[in-house]
Amino acid sequence: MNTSNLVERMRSWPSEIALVTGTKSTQYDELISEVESWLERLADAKITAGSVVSIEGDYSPTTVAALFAVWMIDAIAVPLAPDSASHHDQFCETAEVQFRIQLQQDEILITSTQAEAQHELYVSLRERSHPGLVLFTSGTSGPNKAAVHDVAALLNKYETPRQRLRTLVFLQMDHIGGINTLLYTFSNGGCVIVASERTPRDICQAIEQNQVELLPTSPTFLNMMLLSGEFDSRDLSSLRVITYGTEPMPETTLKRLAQKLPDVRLKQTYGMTELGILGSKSRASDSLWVRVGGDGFETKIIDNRLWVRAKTAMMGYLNAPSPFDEDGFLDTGDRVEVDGEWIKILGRDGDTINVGGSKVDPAEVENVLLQLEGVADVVVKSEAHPITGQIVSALVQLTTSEPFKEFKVRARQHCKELLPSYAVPARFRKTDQPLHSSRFKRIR
Amino acid sequence: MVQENSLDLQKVVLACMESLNLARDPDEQLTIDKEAPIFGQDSPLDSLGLVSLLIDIEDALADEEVEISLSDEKAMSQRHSPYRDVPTLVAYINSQLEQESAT
Repeated sequence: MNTSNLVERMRSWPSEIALVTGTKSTQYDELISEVESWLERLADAKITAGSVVSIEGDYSPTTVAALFAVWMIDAIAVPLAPDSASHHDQFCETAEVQFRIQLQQDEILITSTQAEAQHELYVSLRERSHPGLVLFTSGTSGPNKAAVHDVAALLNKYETPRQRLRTLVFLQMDHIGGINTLLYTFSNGGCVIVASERTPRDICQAIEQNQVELLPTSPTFLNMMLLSGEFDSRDLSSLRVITYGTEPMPETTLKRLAQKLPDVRLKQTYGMTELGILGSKSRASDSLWVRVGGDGFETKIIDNRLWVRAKTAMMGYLNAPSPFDEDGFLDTGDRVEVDGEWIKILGRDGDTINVGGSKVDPAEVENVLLQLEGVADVVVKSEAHPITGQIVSALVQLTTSEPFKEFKVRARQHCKELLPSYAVPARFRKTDQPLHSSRFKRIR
Repeated sequence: MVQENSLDLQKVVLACMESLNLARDPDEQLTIDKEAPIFGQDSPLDSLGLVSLLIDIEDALADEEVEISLSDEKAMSQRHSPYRDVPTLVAYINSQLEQESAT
């Protein structure tokens, strides 16, 4: 299926609602006429096949239509959400963006950057005459990597008609999860609902008001929803399926959720920016055992680590070496337990800390803490926590005699200036013992 | 037992909230009051902030030789969240201490 086939399919249910943002509902025929306006705008701006185009803005009929129009002319889309606004210039530079489309409220700004965009992955997309998609990996573990997808490969997955569902879009358009929600829903004539904020209250309100049937979300967010009590005060009877991914699910959260929502099917998904979203089947609603793979996906397990080969996998990174082995498998870094065809995802191998789905590189946090006066040495590591799965924990050796409480305030203030909030250590402990091995490697 | 009872739990909780405020933006300050909300609709605290606060309270109690876990599975599975406000959290800590001393 190519983008034009998808748009043709969307034409076949003109009066169904495609998108709800706030109080505004947009029908499929209205969305398609918005796509047509974009095709004219792109032509006027001399944006043609193979051009690299950023689409910067929040979900709206205009942004979604811009994405489809860019794909229809076989250009390469770089969606950028408001969350990462401070990184947009840098992302545009890395992705060699040639045209920036910036959308704020009703204003549309199109600017040419004069960039060349000659990366070999772009050249290869142009040779295939296929549209492209560039997504940035998240996390503080080194620079964000830019993954290039061939949209033709991504779209094939949506060719088989599936259930038509009213779906809340939880992740932004610059995330593989957000893109998957849009494509799955639109290719089946469903309705995409955008909540005003990603808080338990607004999400539950959006579910109640719009009779949402499918909620794709993360374990940490489900935990927050359980804690907020919103489940008890809202009518969520429309919900049929909740999917969760991006980080290991704590067993307690899953069991409580299954108890709270006995009629809702709870389903684990497995997705990565590099691989797309893999088909998966949970053994039961309250089970962490999952079968991933199936159509278009193959898995292998080496030393308890999961490797995946996927038809929807990216072509490669713009700014990092290819992570695939010679057979096209990618090491996910996830440790798994195996029981026949079922696997249980235990967490990421290595030192990366996963705080509610956001990845933290301990070395970066150590670096920031070492900048503080009086810090002799520091080791940052993960600690299991029932609320966010893992937390960042810092063990410090101090040369000052200040009360530790005062140091903690000073350290948090400093970290807050330099790190995203999820990377600021939740726990600080003090030690007089050396924090490194005899070979001067930090002991984690 | 005597030491636990002489501990002013409310004061410990409020002191930890105050200290957390020092590293929070002016528009995300927690209200410092014996009835103040902690986690939920009326509070600017998100899940990351809640985790930090609970750990600070655990550490402050550990300084008083009181070992307690406020975010274990027991707390998470309470019918009503013990993290709603200062009174519910203080009551939860108290009930934990009573159970400890009973065993």
